[in-house]
Amino acid sequence: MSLQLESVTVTVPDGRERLTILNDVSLSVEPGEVVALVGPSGSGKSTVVAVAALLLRPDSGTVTVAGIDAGNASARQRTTIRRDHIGVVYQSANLVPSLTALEQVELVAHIDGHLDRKARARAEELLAGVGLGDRLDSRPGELSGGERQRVGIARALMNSPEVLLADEPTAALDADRGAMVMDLLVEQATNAGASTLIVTHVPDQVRADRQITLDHARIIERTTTVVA
Amino acid sequence: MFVAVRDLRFAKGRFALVSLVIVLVALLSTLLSGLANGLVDSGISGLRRLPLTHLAFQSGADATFSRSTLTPDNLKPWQDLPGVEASPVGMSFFNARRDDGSTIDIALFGVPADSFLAPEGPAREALSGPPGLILSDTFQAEGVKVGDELTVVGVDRTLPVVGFTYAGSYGHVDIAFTSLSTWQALLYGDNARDRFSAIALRASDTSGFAGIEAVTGTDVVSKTGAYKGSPGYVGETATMTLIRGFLLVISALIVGSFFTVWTVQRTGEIGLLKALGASTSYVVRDALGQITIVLLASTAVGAGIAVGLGQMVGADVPFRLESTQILGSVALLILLGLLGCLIAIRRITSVDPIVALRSRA
Repeated sequence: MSLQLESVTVTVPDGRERLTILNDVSLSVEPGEVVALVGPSGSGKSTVVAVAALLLRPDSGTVTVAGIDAGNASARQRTTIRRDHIGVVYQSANLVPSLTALEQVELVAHIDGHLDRKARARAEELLAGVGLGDRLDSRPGELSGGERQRVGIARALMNSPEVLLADEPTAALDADRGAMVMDLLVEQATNAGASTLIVTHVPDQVRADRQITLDHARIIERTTTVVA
Repeated sequence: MFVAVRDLRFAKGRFALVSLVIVLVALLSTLLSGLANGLVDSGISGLRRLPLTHLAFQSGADATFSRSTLTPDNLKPWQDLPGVEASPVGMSFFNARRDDGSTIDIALFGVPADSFLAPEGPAREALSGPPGLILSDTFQAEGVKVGDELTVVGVDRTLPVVGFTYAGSYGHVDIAFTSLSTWQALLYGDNARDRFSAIALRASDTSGFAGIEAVTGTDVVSKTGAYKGSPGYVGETATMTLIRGFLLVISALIVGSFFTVWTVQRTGEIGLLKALGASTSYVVRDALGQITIVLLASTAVGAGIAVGLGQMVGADVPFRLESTQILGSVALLILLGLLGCLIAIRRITSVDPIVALRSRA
């Protein structure tokens, strides 16, 4: 199992009290599997991504990524796990304004300390895979919203992650572009064999193997029905 | 510096603005260094070129020639000290009138012709001859020639120019040499009693100095310690140092403020780098690299312009730049600029990668 959250609870300060934003959430995603995480706004979907991406420490519960128990890992170890095993596609593309499309993807290899010819070729290949082979030198300001999000997908796949997380990746796109980007994301994730967890408020867009529904910080439904 | 270099290229206008400010600060700082050096030269270059290591002044004279009067009784113990060469030296400022009625100021050193202080070459021979003046080379440029006669104002004694020696000045006045006896005659008239201003010492071992100081009622200062006795020297150097200090602090504040604001604006980007798995040291290196590039390039340009301007200023402006001082000035600007960026760096280390999830970039 590449991603497993076990009895995860997250609370945040709320005046003198603490507000529970994830309550005893358990889920797992198998390699090559695509799971859609749905639910109304404020149900805790993005918090699940934050915990799974090791960006947020839960108050209790365990998080296992690529077989590594990240629960007790130090900040440095969590950074290393993120770098080596996790890819994230953000709600907005979250690109660096000064970098070209190719450099956005190469950045991942540079952070990992091996931006060589092979890495450059892989970055080009990934961008070609998302249909941006002819936009390698374009900066974010020169790309459309859908193109930026596709760069984000290529970047998330650059480190060949065992775990791919997407936090409402089509939220900023219109329906047609959103559907196209989601299809591309699922296709690329499946090809990569990653355990993929996609947060979305448009479940119909995702061709997922399973769907998990969150509401009021709890999982209220699990279905294995493939949503077309 | 993957992102840093690309940021510099991408946000050219923004970086050009802060670079321009740093260029101007570096330019001003380097120009001030040159002017400070020039003023120092004007104040003590004559003394600096004298081949001595220390000077003994009358106790309490505070390294000032005009406040110090010594006699051969003070000199003898110094001359008897093994491993030490000692020579009497007189120094006073005089005004001398030329044949055409114009006047010149001279810082006149009176030294025995056989003293190690006496100028080398023909000037030394001239010193041992009939009374006369050996002037700083600077006076040649003003049209003074060997054989001209100068009348020392006040005592109304006329002395011929018998030679020229190295250019130098003391208390912003060009130096001149004469024999000690001539100097004594000019200053004391018939009542000289072999008095002089100070004792020039040449020694590598100063261990015996304390005992002789006590016996002779003298205070010994090193050559550089004697600079403070030059009129205006302390005030001028302190003023220049203060101005340069303010400039450097202002520069550090400007650079620090810019990069702090820049870092605040980059919070989302830094969070993203960390979310992508960049260590804190990676993002700090990236930011420091960016700051260093801006500081290096800007200070180099500023210092370069200052050197160019320095070569254009005329001889009337005291100005001298040395490569070590330029490099020191540039290094100090860079160091203080980096120090000014500590707040920015501290902020970088504290950015939580979770901001990447909230970013709308």
